Amino acid sequence: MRKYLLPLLFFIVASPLQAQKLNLEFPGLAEKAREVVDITLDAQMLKIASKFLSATEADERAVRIIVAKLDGIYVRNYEFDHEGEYDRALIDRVRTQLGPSWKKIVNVRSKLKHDAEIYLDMRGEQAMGLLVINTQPRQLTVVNIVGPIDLDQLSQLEGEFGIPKMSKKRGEHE
Amino acid sequence: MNLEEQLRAALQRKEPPAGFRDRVVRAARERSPWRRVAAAAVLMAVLGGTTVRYVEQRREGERAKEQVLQALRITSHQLRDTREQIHDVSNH
Repeated sequence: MRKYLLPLLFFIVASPLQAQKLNLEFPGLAEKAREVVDITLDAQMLKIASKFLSATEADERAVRIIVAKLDGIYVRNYEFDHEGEYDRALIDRVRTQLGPSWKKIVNVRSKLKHDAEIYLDMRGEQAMGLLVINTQPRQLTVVNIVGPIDLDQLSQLEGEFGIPKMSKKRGEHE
Repeated sequence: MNLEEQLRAALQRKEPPAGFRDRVVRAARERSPWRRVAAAAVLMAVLGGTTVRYVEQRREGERAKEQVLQALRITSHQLRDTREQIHDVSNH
């Protein structure tokens, strides 16, 4: 009995800190889209990737520091030829997976631009997960990062540290 | 028999059995060409396999790195875009 007690205690203590990975499978959506970016990087792949990120060059070192703490990065980006080609219920399916620890920190509704929602998986003071949902009439982007996150660190990466800045026009990098 | 005598008897030179030399020479001749070829082939296969595995691991690592950079680029872009949008809305 005693030999099970310690692992059980460890599980109880550790489980609230375990970041939540969301199911971002959207069957059939990729076939409808004109362009798809589907990135799935679990902890093992991140470990492999970090070995190939330079520890001496400042640009890659910044990425390496962020990635070292993470358990997964999942990105789904779909661009469509026409408006209304994806069902908004897909986004509801993602939202319903969010447990009570997820807090919505940003909710932008815009008729001119796009709708954006940002959620953080807060475990005490520490954000242990990030979900970004960005919807446009012809584009859907969902990002889920699993693990401890610093939002400022993340948003500073673009245009700096060797990560090319994404221009407003698709496909153009500075 | 004392120890010294025992040692002398044990280390005493002995003639090999009849035909021993011929058997050794014949065995060495029989095995030499094909065994060498086989050993070389095994060595080549091991080296080739190791090289292929190294190249594959390197390719997988480079691909993972590119994916990390692309994922962070998209995330960072989304965060900045949203931040700018909030900024626009609050300024109007």
